Amino acid sequence: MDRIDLAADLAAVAAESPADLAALAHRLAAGLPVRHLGVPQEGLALLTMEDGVCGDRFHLGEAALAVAHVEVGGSAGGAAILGATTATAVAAAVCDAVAAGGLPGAEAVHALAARGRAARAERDRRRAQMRAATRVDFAELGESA
Amino acid sequence: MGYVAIRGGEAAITEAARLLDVLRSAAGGEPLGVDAIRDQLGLLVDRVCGEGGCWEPRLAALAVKQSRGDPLEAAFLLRAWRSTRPRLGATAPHRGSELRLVRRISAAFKEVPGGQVLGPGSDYLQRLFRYDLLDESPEAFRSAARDWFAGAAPAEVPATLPKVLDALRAEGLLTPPRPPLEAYDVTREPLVFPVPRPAALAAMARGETGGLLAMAYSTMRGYGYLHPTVAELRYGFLPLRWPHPATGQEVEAGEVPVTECEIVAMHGQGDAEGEPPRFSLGYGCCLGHQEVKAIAMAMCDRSLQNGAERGAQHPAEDAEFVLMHIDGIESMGFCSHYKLPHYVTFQSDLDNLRKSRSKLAGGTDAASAALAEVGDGR
Repeated sequence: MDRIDLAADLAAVAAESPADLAALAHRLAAGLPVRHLGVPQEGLALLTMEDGVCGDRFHLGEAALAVAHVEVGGSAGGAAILGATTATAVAAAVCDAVAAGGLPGAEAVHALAARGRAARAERDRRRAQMRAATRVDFAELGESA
Repeated sequence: MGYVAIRGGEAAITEAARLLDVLRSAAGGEPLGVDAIRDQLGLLVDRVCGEGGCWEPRLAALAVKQSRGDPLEAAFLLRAWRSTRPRLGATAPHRGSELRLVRRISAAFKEVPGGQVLGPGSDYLQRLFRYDLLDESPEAFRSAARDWFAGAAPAEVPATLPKVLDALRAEGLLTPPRPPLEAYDVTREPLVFPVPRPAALAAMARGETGGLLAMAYSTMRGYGYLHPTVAELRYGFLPLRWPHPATGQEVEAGEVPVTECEIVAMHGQGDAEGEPPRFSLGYGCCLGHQEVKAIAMAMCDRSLQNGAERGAQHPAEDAEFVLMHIDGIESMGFCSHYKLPHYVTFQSDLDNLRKSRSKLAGGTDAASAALAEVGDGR
């Protein structure tokens, strides 16, 4: 699985069921040495936008973000998740490291990530339904729509 | 003007604060869940996040609960909280074209590439009460979403769509691109006028909705001459990209809901002599689903650009007038401070008034004597 997709899937799991993510990470870490490569942090990400008419950059605001960077069994992993706690970010980073290194437990990580992927797919399906149901073709009076 | 600390009243102040909590539950009923506030009062939570300048919907919902529904006070709470958090960094620039849309409309063209999508909106509704909500059963509440989403999804409309303005730009009808200006952090740098446009955009993005609307409305009513058309209004979810801590590659850390508006204003001459006339543009963008705010911001942006180009001729074209008066936390704080004890400063005002009147009436005016009695607390 692409690591970019894995990150998005694990972020979805973190939003839906952080306890499951923590439980899996706890199980994986029990059999492997875990080392922090950076201090896990909860903080704010300053969201930079490019305005749509002149291309100027500006700050839209901030968003709560948690980041973690770990090494598990010699494999580096990381996570950056909106609205998460550091504990959840560390759990996701452990899962990321295990999956990236193909370490024991990688299959369990992929299985959990599949749940996140399914949640994202359901979210996208609902939005697609909202778009499709409210798609409109306006016509001026006298025109046929 | 000087301020003097006061003493006393600690017990009363403590009880006054407790009363806020007491009144919340005095009428009985069930406590409001924070998740229910976030999910069912979403537009209020979005507003608090936007004006607080921070996307943290659960804490914004808590702020709504704690402030008993006062959006200014709730935004104040959120902004106070954000001031205690470490800044992890700034993202790379994101674009409105990346929004995963649920709503996208244009007042300029009937037909736009990808089509118009109304999404959730009350634009075409009469404002009539839905009395059935007075006694809504949990089952009816749950079935609304369950039944609607159970329907099969009809034909697909893409989640991301091109910008409406792209076609006008391709025709050369818009102001040509110029080197982009870099972002300006209004949370750490003071607004020193004249401010660069990125500072104005950032200040307006976290401005108070009513304040921005008042400025924009003044231009609509004639204090300015914009008469804009909403080329595009879009609402959707922006995937926030952040560098993966291990690889450095950008990954999706989650989504932030965003409303974006692009307006086309009156056309004018090109910058240089002999250049053909072009449309001028305005841009608005804010956290959450806040359409009035995004449109008002776009109008104020256009108005401020007019002021910067030819000198401010109306209040909404004056950057200092607009930007220094739209922050809800600052304006609310200044307004609220007037109800706090000003005994010494007011005593000084009274003394001055007495002296003036005494001078005028030779020190025998009866009203002056009466004022003196009031001032002495008799």
